[in-house]
Amino acid sequence: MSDEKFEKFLESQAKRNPLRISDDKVSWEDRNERKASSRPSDFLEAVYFGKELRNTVVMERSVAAMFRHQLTSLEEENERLRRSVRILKIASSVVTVMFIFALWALLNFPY
Amino acid sequence: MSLRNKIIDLEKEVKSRFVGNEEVIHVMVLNQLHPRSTTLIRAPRGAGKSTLMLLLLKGLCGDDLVVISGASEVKRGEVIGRLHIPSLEKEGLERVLWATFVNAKGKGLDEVNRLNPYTTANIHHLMQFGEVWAYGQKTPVKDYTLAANENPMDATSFIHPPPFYDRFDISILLSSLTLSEKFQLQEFMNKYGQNLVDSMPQIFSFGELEEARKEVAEVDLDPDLAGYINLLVRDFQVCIRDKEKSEIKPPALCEGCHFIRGICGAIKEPLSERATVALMNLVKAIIWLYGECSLEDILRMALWVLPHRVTLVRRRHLLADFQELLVRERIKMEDRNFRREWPLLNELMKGFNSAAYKLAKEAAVEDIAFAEELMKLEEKWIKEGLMKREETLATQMGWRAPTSGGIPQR
Repeated sequence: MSDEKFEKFLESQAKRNPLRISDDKVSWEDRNERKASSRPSDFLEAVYFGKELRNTVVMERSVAAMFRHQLTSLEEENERLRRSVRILKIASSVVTVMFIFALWALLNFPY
Repeated sequence: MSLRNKIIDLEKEVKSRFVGNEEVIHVMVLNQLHPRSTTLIRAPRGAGKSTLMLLLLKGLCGDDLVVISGASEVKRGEVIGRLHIPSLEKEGLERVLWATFVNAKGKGLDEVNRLNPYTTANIHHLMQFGEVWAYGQKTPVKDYTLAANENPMDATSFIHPPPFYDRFDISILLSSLTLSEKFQLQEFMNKYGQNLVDSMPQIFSFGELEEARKEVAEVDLDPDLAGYINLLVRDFQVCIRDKEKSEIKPPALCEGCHFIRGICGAIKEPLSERATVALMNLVKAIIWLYGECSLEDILRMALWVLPHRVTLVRRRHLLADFQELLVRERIKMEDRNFRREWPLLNELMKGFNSAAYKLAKEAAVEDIAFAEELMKLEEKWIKEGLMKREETLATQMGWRAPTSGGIPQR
């Protein structure tokens, strides 16, 4: 894609979602402002910008899918780590037993 | 009948003989609307892949079609060309008789995964350069339609190189028939005297098809659509650790990476640029036929453009894995809108603005494709003396700036 076409793409995207820019501030209007309780809440804003949530949170399907994916990945990683911990526990138990046995052997049969 | 109506008619005629798989037939027909179109049909045994291939080729080329079967022993002379023996004996001239496969408008490859590697190499060259070679002579190949099929689960297959598969514009996957569809198939068989392929009429003359292809090629793509296609392809290529040049591949390469949960972390071998061309051709075909195309259309078609071009880190299901990745891609695009990434970049392209840069930098930390563009601007601003290298995203995150190549910058 030539630079000219890339610039056209950026301009077109900027027209769709215009920004208000002053010297030290950038802002924009959220055209999907959700007033009715059946509309999705700004859940991502709460996550990314720490905004306070209302009592009821309504989530868009895409946002829920993203969270579900991240949760699944975390669960998988959790499971993997749990397995590693179990293996390490077994290994450390074996090493401890061997250490005690070696100590006992050294004490009882010094030569 | 107009060319557009003929395309719709072609789809209708194929669907009236081939049960189910409606979406893949639609994509397959759209894929015929650009020169030297290539389609790969993948399905298990007996799912109708050869029938679908023949229906398409008959509808487009009538009897001007040649099918080469990987199941039989194929010699080069049968596919490309052979020496004309009388000329050699009488005049000592090496004259090549080009095979009918070379000259046919409709080219079919049945069970392509069983074709011997020599034949495959010749066909690969044909698809790549639009010409064929035999006995030190070459001939250009005029416009054609090529359809191939294979059973990817076939244990007796040759393993063809990935660049060969990359030459196919799309790879469609057929499903087996549901209970009601089996009844429908029996009805079709009775209707067409047990011979679905012979009853298929030729809808186009090849000249008309070439005319349609020319009209489609002239369609001008909207910058937004071109942008979405390029973005989609880039998201399936990009890697902050440059996996394209790395000897270590994911998942080992991704250990400890900031983007480990991104789409990039699921891809072992990235997408080739041919995917962009294939998607652009399909989008142009949709616009030519229906007057408009949406982001959802692009993502739906990407499902048939990506799978034979990408190697995933973990592959559990031929289609479901890609469907999941495309859902994630849709979410990513929505997230970009939410953060106003492209309007911010648009502002920054006009000139440095600290407030816009701050927001862009926050977004770039979560989006490599965006980060690449921002890092390019940072390089420009450093040269202009607007910022120091220590302040850049590349330095702060320990990433390699895309313009730096292999030479470390100071």
